[in-house]
Amino acid sequence: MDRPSLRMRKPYVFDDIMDPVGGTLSERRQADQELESFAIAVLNQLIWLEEKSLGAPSSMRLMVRLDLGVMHGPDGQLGYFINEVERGMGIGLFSTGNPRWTLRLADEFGCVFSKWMDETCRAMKRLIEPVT
Amino acid sequence: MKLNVIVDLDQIASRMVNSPRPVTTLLSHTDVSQSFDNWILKREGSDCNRHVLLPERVDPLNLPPDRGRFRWLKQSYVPTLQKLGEWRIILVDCQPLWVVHTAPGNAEAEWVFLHRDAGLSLAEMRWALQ
Repeated sequence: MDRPSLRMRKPYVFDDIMDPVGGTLSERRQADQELESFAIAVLNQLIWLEEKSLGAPSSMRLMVRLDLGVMHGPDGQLGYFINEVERGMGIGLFSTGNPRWTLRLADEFGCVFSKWMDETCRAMKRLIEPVT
Repeated sequence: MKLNVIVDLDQIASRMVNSPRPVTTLLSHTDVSQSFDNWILKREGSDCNRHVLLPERVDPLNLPPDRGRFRWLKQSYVPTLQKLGEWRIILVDCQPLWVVHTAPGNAEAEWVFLHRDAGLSLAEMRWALQ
């Protein structure tokens, strides 16, 4: 893309980046896709590396927060990079602005937790008595 | 973030996804000839930048001591983190649930949720109308 159809000031202010004005729907969707597909691709590789040494499902499968930044590479190209990987029950969710997202997370988490526990117990050869 | 995760991320970036990475090493407390120009210090086990020293705040004569199992790392300074901020993605089952864009100096009220709340399905609306 030579010139985005966004209306951006020069020099930009944070609002131009965080609350963009203009741009077509497909441009915005492509931008989301760019961010998310990078995050998912790196996460899958991280999980693969960890599970290879653990021999059990990684807790990153369950829930993880990835903090991404952008930076210029040696070739001058701008690219995403992972600046932080946080996992476990104590991670900051950044959901205070919209607490209903925490409930959305609880619904999603509930669906995958028992599957993850099952797989972990099986991999570690620790059986849990089925609830009767 | 622990150094071993950073090493994994470096490996993934160079071999698999072809993306840039800052250079990260363990901070030496004994190397007197090292330079701190354009380097930041960050500590392992530091959630959300609570233990990060930007270049202007690094005092070579008074380096922060490692605390227990958390070690200090030296990382090349990435100015775009200050200029554009960070995108924080929460993933459950490897699926992104939401993304929050934060920028340095922006108050909590100015965080931006990039994911819209999904609307109701017709079936859900039908149930609500009953």
